[in-house]
Amino acid sequence: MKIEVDEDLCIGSANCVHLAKGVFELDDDEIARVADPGAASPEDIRLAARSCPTAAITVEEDDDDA
Amino acid sequence: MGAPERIVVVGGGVAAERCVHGLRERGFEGAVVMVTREDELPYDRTLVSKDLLKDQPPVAEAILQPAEAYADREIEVRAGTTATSLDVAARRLSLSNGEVLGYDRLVICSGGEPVVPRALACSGIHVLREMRDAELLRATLDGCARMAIVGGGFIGGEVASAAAARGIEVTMIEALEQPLARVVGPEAGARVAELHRRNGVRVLTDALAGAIRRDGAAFEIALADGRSVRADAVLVGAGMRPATDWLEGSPIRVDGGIVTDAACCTEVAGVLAAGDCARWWNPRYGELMRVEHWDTARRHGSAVAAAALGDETPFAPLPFFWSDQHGIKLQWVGYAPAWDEIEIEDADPEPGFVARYRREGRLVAVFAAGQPRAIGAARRELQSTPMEVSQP
Repeated sequence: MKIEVDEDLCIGSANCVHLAKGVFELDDDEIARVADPGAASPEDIRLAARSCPTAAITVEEDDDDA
Repeated sequence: MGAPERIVVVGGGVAAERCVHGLRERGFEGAVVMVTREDELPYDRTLVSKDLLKDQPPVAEAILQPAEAYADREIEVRAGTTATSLDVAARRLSLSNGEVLGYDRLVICSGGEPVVPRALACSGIHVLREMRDAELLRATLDGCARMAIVGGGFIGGEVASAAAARGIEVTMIEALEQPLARVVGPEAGARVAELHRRNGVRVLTDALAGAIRRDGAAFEIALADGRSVRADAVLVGAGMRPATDWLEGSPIRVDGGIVTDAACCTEVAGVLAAGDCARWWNPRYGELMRVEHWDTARRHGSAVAAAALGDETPFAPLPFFWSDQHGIKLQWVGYAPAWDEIEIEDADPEPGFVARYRREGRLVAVFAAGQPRAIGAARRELQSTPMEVSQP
């Protein structure tokens, strides 16, 4: 699964940080970045992407994603 | 005021969560106690009307920080406990478990509670604010064929989406001329109504629910115009009010929310407030505001932590909210209690649109469906607008 955060859209609301625990973190400017793409399930990463208030997260599925 | 030794935070929403952790992130080493009415640790309340209504709800994911994060930071949590009264002279807070907590700073983030108009009170109807409410509603949605939703606001709209996605026949009963009309105006509200209708929701507008009657397992909602709606389940989404009843008799000023200055401080020494319960002076607009949005509450929680430690930076957020309805992200940025011009533009993909609100020729807010880039651009434009005035 390929995960991208659009820095122009992110407002640092941090919903992704708890929804896919370990995958995202906020940097010093309060912008989300991918810390460890393998830390949560693909399902949780999809939850984080669709729950992003600014639609800043996109995920691209690989063939082997659950 | 000297340096605080013990800070008590009343509340268990995101404002309280950001506050207690914010105190530690800012190096505060004294005692921190969080008193929360709910049994769960602070969670993502925005999911209550979204994924938490689905089968296999993401309950663990919704919790903002695990119990260890509180333990590691020596944040004491009193869950399932309410604040019952406050003695500001002695700086003592009484709790429902009989405990009395002394404090140097008290931060009130007690949030809000759903309003059910007296005429609509009826056993078995649902409201939605907390995780517990979502559990009850989810159980009702299983096996429900027809649902009535009173109120076309954010809660009503998101529950309508969740119910329609389950194949439930949904009737939305909106008192105004369009859903969300009070916030986005009738023109943009009509677009939201259309979004509901194309997803199978029956939307009744200018429809005032007068009474709800239970008839065996079913409910009958009588409308003021003589029509009636029958359903197996009813959700009332009629807004919320600040949870401040426990402050009655205290000198804390409550006027449509707990009134504070721009630095989150009430007029009572050592008492601050933030989140949905607070009505604070927002220097961006030069007026007292109470905002019920997640993003604002979160920022407010961080700001009140700083304020409790003596940082008087004014809290001046740009209001922003979003709502996911029928797979479309609705977003709003700005503040527009009134406007004199609205321009709505269609945008791809269908049924996308961007609504721009202007006052005296100046952009004051943007509401959009499925257009996150338009909202991002609006945010930058609105943020660069000079602030109004400072507090008198």
